[in-house]
Amino acid sequence: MSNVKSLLTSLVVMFASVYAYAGAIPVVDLITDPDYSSFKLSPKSKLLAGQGFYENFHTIEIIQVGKEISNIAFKLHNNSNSKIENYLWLDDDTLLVDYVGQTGQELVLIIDVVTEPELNFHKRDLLFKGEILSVVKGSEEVIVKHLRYGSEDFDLYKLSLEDLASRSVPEEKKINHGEKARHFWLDSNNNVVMKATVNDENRSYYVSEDQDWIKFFELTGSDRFYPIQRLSDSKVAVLTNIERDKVELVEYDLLLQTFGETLFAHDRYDLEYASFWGDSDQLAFVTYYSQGRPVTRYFESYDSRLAKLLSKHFKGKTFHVLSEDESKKNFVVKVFNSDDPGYFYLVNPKRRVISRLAPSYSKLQAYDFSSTVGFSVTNSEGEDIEAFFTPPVDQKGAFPLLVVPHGGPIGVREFDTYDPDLQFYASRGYGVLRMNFSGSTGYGKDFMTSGVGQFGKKIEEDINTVVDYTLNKFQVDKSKVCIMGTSYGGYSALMSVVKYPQKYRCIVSAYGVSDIKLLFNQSNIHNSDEANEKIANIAGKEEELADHFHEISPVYHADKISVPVLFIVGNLDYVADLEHSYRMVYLLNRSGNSKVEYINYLRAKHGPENMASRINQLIITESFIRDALKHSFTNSELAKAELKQALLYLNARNVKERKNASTKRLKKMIGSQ
Amino acid sequence: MYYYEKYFNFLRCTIFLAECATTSLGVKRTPIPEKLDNIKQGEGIIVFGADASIGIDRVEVSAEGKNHNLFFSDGFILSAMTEGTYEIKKVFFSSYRYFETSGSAWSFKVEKGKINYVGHIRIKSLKHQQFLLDITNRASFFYEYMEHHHSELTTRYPIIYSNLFSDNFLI
Repeated sequence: MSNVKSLLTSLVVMFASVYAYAGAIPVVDLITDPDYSSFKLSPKSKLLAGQGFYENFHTIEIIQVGKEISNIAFKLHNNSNSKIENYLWLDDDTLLVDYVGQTGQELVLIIDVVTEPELNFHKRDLLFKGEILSVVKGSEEVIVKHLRYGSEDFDLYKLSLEDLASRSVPEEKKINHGEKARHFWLDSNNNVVMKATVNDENRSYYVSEDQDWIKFFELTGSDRFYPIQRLSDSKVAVLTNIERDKVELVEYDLLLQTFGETLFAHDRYDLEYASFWGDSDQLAFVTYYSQGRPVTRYFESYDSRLAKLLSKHFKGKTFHVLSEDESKKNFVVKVFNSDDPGYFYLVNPKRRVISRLAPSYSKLQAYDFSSTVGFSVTNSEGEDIEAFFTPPVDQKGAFPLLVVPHGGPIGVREFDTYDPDLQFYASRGYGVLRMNFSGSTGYGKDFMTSGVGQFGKKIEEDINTVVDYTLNKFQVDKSKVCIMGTSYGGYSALMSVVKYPQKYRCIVSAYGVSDIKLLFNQSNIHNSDEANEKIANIAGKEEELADHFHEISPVYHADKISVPVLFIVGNLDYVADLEHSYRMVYLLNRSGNSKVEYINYLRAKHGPENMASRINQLIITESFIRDALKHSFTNSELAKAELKQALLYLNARNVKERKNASTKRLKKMIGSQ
Repeated sequence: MYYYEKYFNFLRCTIFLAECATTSLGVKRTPIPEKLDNIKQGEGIIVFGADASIGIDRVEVSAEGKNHNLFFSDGFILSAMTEGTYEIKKVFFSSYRYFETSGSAWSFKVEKGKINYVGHIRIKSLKHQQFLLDITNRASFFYEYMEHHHSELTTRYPIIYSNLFSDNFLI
């Protein structure tokens, strides 16, 4: 980790451009843990704490603000158990780190920071089961969420450090009077003002009234209802799409139990979140995604000044405020974009000073990234389909295109933010196309439900409309187009080739579905009535689909597929069982019309089981496409090294059949490099 | 599909250890596949597959109070059974260790004169000494196996899916 000290000098924003490498980015540089994932300011901005990852250790680094001094205060060896849950400043000299150790023990580390004569730390570990949520201002107490044994519900406690050290939770310190709950809302004085309980069928919301809980709303079904702030004795502000299409910020009357005035709504997008100032009824900001990019709309306040400063200096970029001091004069901000993995800054908007802290990924500073282009296309029903095209980094002439439908398909969406997988392909000369087809979330209920039961129909038509537009709009080599996806995206890749066979030259179906009927009859245990109802809410009702299973299932159209297909499956996938892919493999091999590769990752569920597996799947997938399209990228040494790495992984008991078509292809490709 | 995962309720079985000398109970062993060429009047052929992170030794099924032990060979069971309704009672993963099952989800029908694919018995180990046990539809593996090992049978008898799955694949 490059300590941040050398970067901490305050500078008025003026960044020199640096040389960046525009070729293929090594996959191990892209798919890795960030050097820094967050920073937090101490109450009076004396110190900064940064959470990161360094040489297989989770780390907490302490930085003296205004001085070029920093040091790692805590290192935790990375394994499947260990993680840092949270870290908080108790005061300007004391940091609490809530973490899980290598053996799975829950611990709290108290770090007393000494700055004179030099930066030093006194540390003590406490065994404590629970999660520290916040610090009570002006005291040495913390609010702790404690999970009850055998339950998913919590109690809240206000505990001193001595209480934490006692290793038992004193009942008299409980602050949520009454029964435990799944979610709590606290005011600025740490009083519990609202709570939510959850059971299998519904979610109930309560407000606190004189040590009693009054239920004010019960949510059933899939609508959104999320309280944000208690505005007065009789009103709560909630984010909801009940009685409306989009998720809006709305007043809810506790006495009449009705929705009232709309406080904020966007005409095209669902709101994601909203926040008020302190305990007041003054709206501070709302957030939503516009053309896939996260947008925070600030209202008049200090934050508005911060937003104006950042908007001016980081034109076109997205920024998130991660931390602020108690005077709200200094802020830690992360600035990022689709072509920028992110950089952390310390900002004082009043003095108009922006100081660089550190990049999220220091190794990636050396590379050029592709900037995604957002656009909209109108589908056959007149609806706008938002799409995202990521061009090759070093575009010279016509390029191959990868069409990537997302999973789900209902209630999932694509974003226009930094994505290492996209950059992996873009840096190897591919354009990548994604889209929010009918059924995607973020555009209101009507748009989302319009995708239900549209497997192989409206959804693939939407995808095809976007593909047609892209082929005409951008400099795509139309003879080099492949389609790939995960889960529903894997289904859609197969079905799109069945419906539009002339368009595509190869298919990658990862953790995909091929037989819709099989979704309903996979297992004597898993396919309970309840589970099948959930499936019906996405794919359509089984009885209504009965006459269409053949029409909408790629497995019954295998004879129409004549391009190379790569199937990636998880041996432990209980969402899209490997039978879906194997049916296709069986029939494609029988027909002999296409080259088929099939890799069964032994420990994978519905996706790569870890980073090494993810890296392997990226290399296997890209090399399969490269081979199918006769594509190449400039750095042949890197290409060869990555192929060797992938082969080693496949030979190391990570897949079910180690001698398969993919390993043969890899060997051949290594030999020809 | 991604979002289904959390809704599935897996059957979690704890390893059950029992002292039971199964071979001495006088129950019928699985006939070896070669002897299935001529099944008797009123009999059908049943096929089980196995997909397990631990080896499956045999399955105990019962009908009308009579138990039958069906032994796995090369990951499959092929056996001639009298037509009727059977219930899977126990799945043995060694001579003496087994999972016990009950309920209608473990009941299957055998039709005479047909190859009845019952399903693949799946056992996956979870954390904390817990296992997932179910019968999963792996028809493509079943077809591939039959094609490679018992193609003669498939030309003589029609294939059907057991009542546990109403599938159309290749039918």
